[in-house]
Order: sequence, then C-alpha cells, then structure tokens
Amino acid sequence: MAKYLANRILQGVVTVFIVTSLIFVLFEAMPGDPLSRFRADPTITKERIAQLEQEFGLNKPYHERYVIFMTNMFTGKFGQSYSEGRPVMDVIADRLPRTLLLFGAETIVVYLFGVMIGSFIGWKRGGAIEGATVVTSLVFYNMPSFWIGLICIWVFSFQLGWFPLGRFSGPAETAQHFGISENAWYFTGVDYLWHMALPLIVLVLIGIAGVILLMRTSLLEVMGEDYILTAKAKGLTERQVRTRHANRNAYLPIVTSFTISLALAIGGALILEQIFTYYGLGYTYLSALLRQDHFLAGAILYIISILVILANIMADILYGWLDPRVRM
Amino acid sequence: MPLRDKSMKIAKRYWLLLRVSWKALRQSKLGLAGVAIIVAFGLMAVLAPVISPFTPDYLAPEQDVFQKLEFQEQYPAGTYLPTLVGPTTPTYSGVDGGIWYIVPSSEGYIDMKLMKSSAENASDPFDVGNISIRLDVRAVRMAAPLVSVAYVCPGVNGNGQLGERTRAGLLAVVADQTFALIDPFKYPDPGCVLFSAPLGFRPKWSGIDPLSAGEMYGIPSENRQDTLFGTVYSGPYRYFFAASDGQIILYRFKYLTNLYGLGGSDGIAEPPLQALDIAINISGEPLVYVNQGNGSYSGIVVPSDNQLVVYNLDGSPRVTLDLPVSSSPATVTAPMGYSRSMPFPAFVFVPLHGASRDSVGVLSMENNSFSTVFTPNVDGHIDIAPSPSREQALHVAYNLNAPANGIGAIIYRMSYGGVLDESFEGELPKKCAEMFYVTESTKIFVRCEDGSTYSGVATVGGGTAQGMRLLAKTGPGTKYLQAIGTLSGSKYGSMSSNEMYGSYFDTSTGAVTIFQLIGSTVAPLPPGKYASGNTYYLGTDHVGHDILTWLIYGSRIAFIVGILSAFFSVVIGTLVGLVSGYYGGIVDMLLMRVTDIVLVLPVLPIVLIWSAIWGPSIWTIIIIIAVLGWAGIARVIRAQTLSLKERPFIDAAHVGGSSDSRIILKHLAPNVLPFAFLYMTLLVAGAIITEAALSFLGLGDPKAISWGIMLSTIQTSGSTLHAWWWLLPPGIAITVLSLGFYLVGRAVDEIVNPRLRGR
Repeated sequence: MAKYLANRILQGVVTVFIVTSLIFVLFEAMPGDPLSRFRADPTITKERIAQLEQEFGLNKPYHERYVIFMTNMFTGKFGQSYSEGRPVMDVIADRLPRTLLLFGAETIVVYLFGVMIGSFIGWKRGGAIEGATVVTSLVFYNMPSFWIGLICIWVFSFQLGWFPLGRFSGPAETAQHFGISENAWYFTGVDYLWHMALPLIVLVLIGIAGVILLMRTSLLEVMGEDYILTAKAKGLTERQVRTRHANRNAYLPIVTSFTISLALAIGGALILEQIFTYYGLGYTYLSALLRQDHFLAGAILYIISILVILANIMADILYGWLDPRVRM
Repeated sequence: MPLRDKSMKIAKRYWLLLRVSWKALRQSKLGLAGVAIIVAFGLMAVLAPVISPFTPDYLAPEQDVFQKLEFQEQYPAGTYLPTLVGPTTPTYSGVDGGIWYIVPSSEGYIDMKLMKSSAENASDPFDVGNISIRLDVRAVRMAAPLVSVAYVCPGVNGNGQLGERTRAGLLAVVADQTFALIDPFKYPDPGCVLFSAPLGFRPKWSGIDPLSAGEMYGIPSENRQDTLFGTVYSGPYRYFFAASDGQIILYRFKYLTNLYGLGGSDGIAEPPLQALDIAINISGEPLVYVNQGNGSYSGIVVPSDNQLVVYNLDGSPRVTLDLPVSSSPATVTAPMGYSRSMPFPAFVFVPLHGASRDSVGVLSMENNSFSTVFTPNVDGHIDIAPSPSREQALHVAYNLNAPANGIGAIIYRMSYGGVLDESFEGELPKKCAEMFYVTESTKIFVRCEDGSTYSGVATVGGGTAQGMRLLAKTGPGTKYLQAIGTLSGSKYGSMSSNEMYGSYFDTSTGAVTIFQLIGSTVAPLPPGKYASGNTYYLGTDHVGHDILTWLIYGSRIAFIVGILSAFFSVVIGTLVGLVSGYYGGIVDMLLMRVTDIVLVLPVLPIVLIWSAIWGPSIWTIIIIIAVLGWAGIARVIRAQTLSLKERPFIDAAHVGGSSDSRIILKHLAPNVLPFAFLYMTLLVAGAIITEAALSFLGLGDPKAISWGIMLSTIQTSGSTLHAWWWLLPPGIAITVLSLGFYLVGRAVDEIVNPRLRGR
C-alpha cells in the first residue's frame, strides 16, 4: 500500500508541475501582459510598476520568466490583483472557502444519495419507480446546468421569492427575509445556507443523475457475477449479499467516475457561481479574466488544478482501499 | 487492390455494422427513442429554410417592437431659460435617489420637480417622485431677470458617506449682476441664500464645473477610495465661472453633503473664494475642466480669438496655445467637450472652424499641448460640442453645408487619437442642433433642426451598428432637449438603459415631454399575433428575431459542433489508444500519463483562456472540445488494443513481415474503430452541452445562430426573468438532442456489453 501511495503522490506532483507549466504557456499566449492594466491606470506610479516588473521578471527572457513563474506559484507568491486592489492571496483566502463549501456539500450529497438511490433501484429492478427514476435521471443528466440555474432563479427566486435573487449582498436582506436578528448566533449559518441553497440544489440535480445511472448499471453488472450467486447459494440474506458483496464492488466504477467527472464538475460549478453571483473562485476567475487581471486568474486556475489533482489522489487511495487488487 | 474495390469493401463493412447495430438497437426502447430524436432534429437542421416561419435575419418591424413611452408635464407661461437636471444619489449606493428636473424662467422663478425610477411599471417619473418646489428669487432679495441657474450635486465626505439623499444639492444662480448659492430645500427661509456677491457685469456664459454638474464618472468627494478602481481624486473644491466678452471670474468653494445628514447645519464648508478675475478677450464659452485621476491636470480653458488660454484652478496662468487648422488660424465654433470617465485621460476637445475645413482639436491638459486630430473631407460645420463616451470614443456631428440625398448631418465616432470607427453609422436626414452621449454602450441622441430626435445605437466591440432611430418629433416651438440619466440614481456611473430619458421643453406652451430613450422598445415580444400581421409562435428576442426560427436554425450548429468535435476527439483518442496499447512499455506509460493529465484538467477554466487568445468562433469551440475530450476514448481503445494484439492474426501479420504502422492501421484500427465511433454518440451528447455552456459564457461566435448564443443573449440583455418563451425553448432543445445521442450511446453500450442487455 505504501508503494502504491507513494507512486500516486509522485504522479500527482508531476501532474501539478505539468499543469502549472501549461498555465504559464496559456497566460504567456494571452494578449497583453499582467501589468497592462496597471500601466493604463494613472493613479499607479511608474516606480510601483517597475517594482512589480522586477518582482515577476516580466522584463526578462522567456526561460527566466518561466523559472520565476514556477517558483512563485509553488511558493504561493501570487502577486497583486488589479481588479480587487489587494494581494491575490487575500482574494483567494476570501473566496476559496465559499467554493469549497458549495462544492464539498454538493459532492457529499450527490455521492451519498446518488449511491443510495442507484443501488436501491438497481436492486429492486423493474416497476414504475425504476422507470421513472431512470428517465428523470437521463433527462437531468443531459440538461445544461446553467439553464437549470436560470430556470431555478426565475421560478424560486423571482416568482416565489424563496431565495435571494443575487449575490452575498448585505446581511440585512437575510435578516429581513427570515425576521431574525443579525446578531443571533445562528445568523451567519442561515445567511450562508440561504444564499447557497439554490446553486447547491442545481449542482446536486445535475450531479446526482449521473451517479444514480452509473450506480444502477454498475450494480447490474456486478449482479451477473458468479460470486454473487455463490453468496446467495451460501444462504446469506439479501441484505448481506447486497452490502457485503454487491455494493462494495459496484462502488469501483463510481470512484473512477468521480475522478473523471471532478474536472468537469468544476466547470459546471464555475458557470453556476457566475449565474447565481455566488462570490466563489469561479465567479472571481471569470471576472478576473474579463478584466485582464492575469495575476488573479492565473493563481485561481493553479489553485483549482491543485484541488482537482488532490481530489484525484484521494479517490485513488479510496480505490485502493476498496479494491485490494490495485494495491499490488 | 484497386482503390475503388477497397473503399467498397470498407463501405460494406460499415453497412454491415450499421445493420447489426440497428438490429440490436431495436431491442432497446430508449435507444429507439434516441434515434427518433436525432432523426427529427436532423430533419429540422436540413429543412430549416423550408420549415422556419421567417429567415434568421428577419427582425420584427418597428410597429411590433417599438412603443413610444411619453409623459407630459405642464408649466405656466413664461420666458424660459434652458432646462437642467440635478442628479442626487449614485445608483450603486443602494439608496433610491432621484433626479431634479429644473425649469428656470427669466421672470425669476425656478421650478424643481423630482423624477424617480419608473422602469418597473412604466409610470410617469414625476408621479413617482412626487415632490415639487417653486422658488422665486425675488423673494430672497435678488433682482430679475434671472440669467442662469446651475445645479451643484451633493458629494461624499472622506469616509464615502453620502448624507441625506434626495433633498440635497445647491443652486448656483445668477440674477441680474449677482451670483448666489441657494439651498432650495430651505426656501422660503431667507437663510437659504448661503452666499451672494456682485459680479459687476451680466455674464454671457456661466456655469459650474462638470463634476459638480453630475457629468463626470465619479462623485464629488474629498478624496475617495474606490474599492474597484483605486484612488479617484475628485475634490474637494467646486468651481463656478461667469464670463462676458471681456472678463472672466472664477469662484471656488467647498460643499459636501455630509454636512447635511451627518452633522453640521451649514451647506458650505468653505465660503466661496474668487480664484480668478481678469480682463481677457473671450470668443467662446470657457470650460472648467476637472480631472479625477490627477488634480493637477485640471484647469480653466478660455477661447480667445485664435488662441486657447489655460489657467490653473488657483488662478495662476498656465499656457497659451495657437489654434491652427491646416496651418491657418482657426476659431472655436461651439462649446468644448472633455473626457469624462475612467481612466481619466486629461483631454479637452475643441471644435474648430478653419479657413477651408472644420476640424476637431485635442488639448492635452497633461502635456499642455494642442493638435488637430480629425478633419473629415466634407463641406460642413461643427455647431455643437464634441461628445465623448466611456469607451474612450468621441462623437462629433458635422452639419453639411449642402444637404443632399437625405443626409443633413453626419455623426462621426473616433478614438481620442482621431482613428475613425467605421462600424458606426451616424447619418441624419436633417442638420443637427444638439447632441448627447448617454451611456456606456454608446447610445447617443441628437435633436435635429426640424425638432425630430434620434437615438443612435452602436454596440461596442465588433457588434453591428444600428444607425439612428427616430425617437420623437415635436412642433416648431420646441426648444431645450435635455438628457436625463437613470431615474433611480443619477448621471454618474453605469446605468440601466431602460431608465434613460430625454425631455423636450416647448417654450411656446410651457409643456414638457419626457420620453424614454431606449426602453420604449417592447421586445422581447411574447408569443402571439401582432400589428404587422406576423405571428411569432414562440415570441421574439430583445431585438425582434423570431425565436422559433432561431430554434430551428440552431440545430445546425448543434449538429456541426457536436459531431465534428466528437469526431476529432475520437480520431485523437483512437490514435493515442492504438499506439499506446500496441507498443506498450515507455510509450504506453508516457501516453497514459498525458491521458491522465488531460483527464484531470479543469476543462472549462482553461477553455476560457484559450478563447481569449483565439477569439470566439465556432471553430475555436470545436477544436477545444476535441483537444480536451479525447482522453476517455484513448483509455477504452487502449484496453481493446491490448486484448486484440494477443490474437493470432496479429502474430500472423508480424510473421508476414508487416511494419508496426501497417499493423496498427491495417489490422488493429479496423477492429477498434467500430467501438470508437459507437462511443462517439456519447461524446456528441457532451459536446452539445459544452458548446452551449461555452457560448453562454460568451465564447461562441456572436453572429452564429446557436442555442447557447440564444441563452447567452437572454442573460446579457437582462430578459432572463421576463421572457420565458425565450428562456425555455433553447434549453429544452439542448436537453432533448443531447438526450437523443446519449440514449443511442447507452444502447450501443448494451450491445457492446451484452451482460447489460435487457436490463
């Protein structure tokens, strides 16, 4: 197991290195350099620009710039955000928890309930429930997430007024909506939940459809295996067969799909943050790109990549734990 | 073997494959449904020109989409001076402010009425504001006639606080030969005159600095820290000038609103100080210029015969510049314009009349230099001030000396450097008498000599110019066109365009007409039959495109992008899988590492940068989806190859002396390709959704007709919450078509994995 672990982590490090290099190339190819916006601003002195240029080696040739860029990224020296007017690190520290909260909650809900529902309908085959669940899941699986987002805003925020129409605006709106005091100990929680609810629901709707379908198919496949027959023949109860033998093996494709869908899901979350004006990394990333805030955009892309790679390593470890064959 | 036979053989092979697949598909109900969906949409794409009710370019005619929204207000008869507006609170302060509509008459009356946001219910802005004040300057010991009135906007203090909202602001009044600052909200208390001083002459020109008049980007303040844009210098002084042909006086004073709601009772922090009082020959309206980026660029510019004389705002002389056009002396023909927004370049724009041609000159207040930038080759005059926009673009109207072919004036749009923007069409049928720049996407509106008002709309950033549209036409007695910013806020900052108003003051009857500038377009139209006799079964979008037509044509892009990008993905993925599986060893390891990396790449964020580099287009999207989507296929194909290469026929090929590339292409590829292309249907489903998402984020070709673009425009035009007939169809189409491909893909999966069949 230790060797397997070390191998995975080493691979992760190499991936981080390559992805970071890719980010360097992408931002080099972008029109304008990171300081073009600073230069256009008359309130920023020439000395400050020269200082930034020096610091990030922007006046140096390609290869030296590359070394400086990589060093800066790995040491967390992300530079100054033009559009936010403060260090990039501060912006990320501010926005990252929100994205992690949204995304973490989504992942937990999706995989917990998706696996439960999928194994339920996979086990009890046939009938209206299975048909309805499969068709509903198929439809949701093929819906553009941003479109559901827009519809949810239209129905639940605009028509019904259940959820806020926009961003993490003032706490006053929350206080007024629920008729609670801003000083209550539970206020922050309520405020976050209320603003997070709708994007979370949409993310879950999209994500859970895929997991249900996969879990069902995966379970069907496992059910055809000989060892299930053996387990049944041994006289184990339905429940024992299901939890000990069938489900555990059916989880494997789910874990694999997690690693693949993660990178895609980050994209979906990014668009949803934009639609719900949810001030997370995705929202910040889009606005940074629009404002040509290269320092901020580059750093966020780096952080997102790291997160995805980390999650992948964790999934691999989980896989190894579920399937002893892999460890060898 | 002849080529023809070979291709026949391949075709036969695939025909067989198709038949086998169809046989298997027939057993899967969902798979059949998928095929039906794809066929239906495919027919739609092919037959689009036949079955669409309109062409995609068709715009609903004016009589369907354009409704004038006008409100009338009556004033008593009198001899009226130019009307003006007084903005109070910036839109983003979160407090509903308003705009004072101010009508002065030379008899001595000043009528102020508050206009407030009416965008929600299209009601009369005066009714929403519902406050009016009528001052008589003679009641506060000033003598008629009233000569001029200017409004001094409230500002913010050093902490960014705004103080009281709507009942804030001062009037800078000149009556007879006296200048006075009046707080209209204290009237009729005699204490409402906060300051008064004799001028010694009756001014021909007078006014407040543009920042205090609400014409600039920011809010007057001591020294405000703006979170988005860093430090914006804009204060703390306000400036008032009065000038006659031979003399100019400049006052400066300090007025901050925090003195209202936030402590203190007096409206003026520092009493007015005479900064400048000199005798000079003045040949045109002087301009007090305030630069918010750097206070030292500010100054007062005085046209004096063939020269511009510039003073600093403390009264010290700065520079005197000659005004040549084509090296002959020129004179200033109209009021000067000035740059007014981020990032605060210090330019004053000077309309010039030279010996042979009229020209636009630019005075740099930073370098104290002057040059002419634009001299069009038309025989005409600049009669009105050049009007800058927020995108660093300048608009100038040339009135033709000899109007012809229905063109009386041409409006040019150029960069500050004088580069002409060819995409802007600004031809007007009549000579132009007044012109205003209104909002960020270059909406300008002008009054022509015959009393008609036009609005010019040209989208910035490569969009299509819509030319000039007739907004209103009034009688010959009409005078005084006034631009009114957003009624929920002010003229500062960005604003919502359906709250932009203009007003006419009819001097013969005292009637004011307030008309909406852009919001009078009623599109998006809900489904139904309209005045022109057209029926829009799914309504229209915000400019009048038929939604049903666009929905039908949109299927073409969906198929093109979906199938092409999936095809390219499959080609790349298959090649990588084959090579990796066949060679094994270090090649396999390297390729699979690359595959793993591509699999974990956060696709969308990377794509966003990519399209910033290449610019948005359909091909960008196809290539991006293909390049980032092949990894899954590569893994499947590699697994297939691994098992295939142990089969005897491959050994036979080796023994027969085939090269590696020949084995891969001749023996392995034909055996894995069916899998690859069957799995392609799953990729198509994903690609259709990805295309929509990318287009939605603004990466699609804005001129293409795609479902994603439709959803993107509904968002950018702000119609998401108001046009369900536009929001629902593209999303449903994306879902259904994607579902169709996905269902076929699943059915294929069941064929390939027989264990799943029938379950």
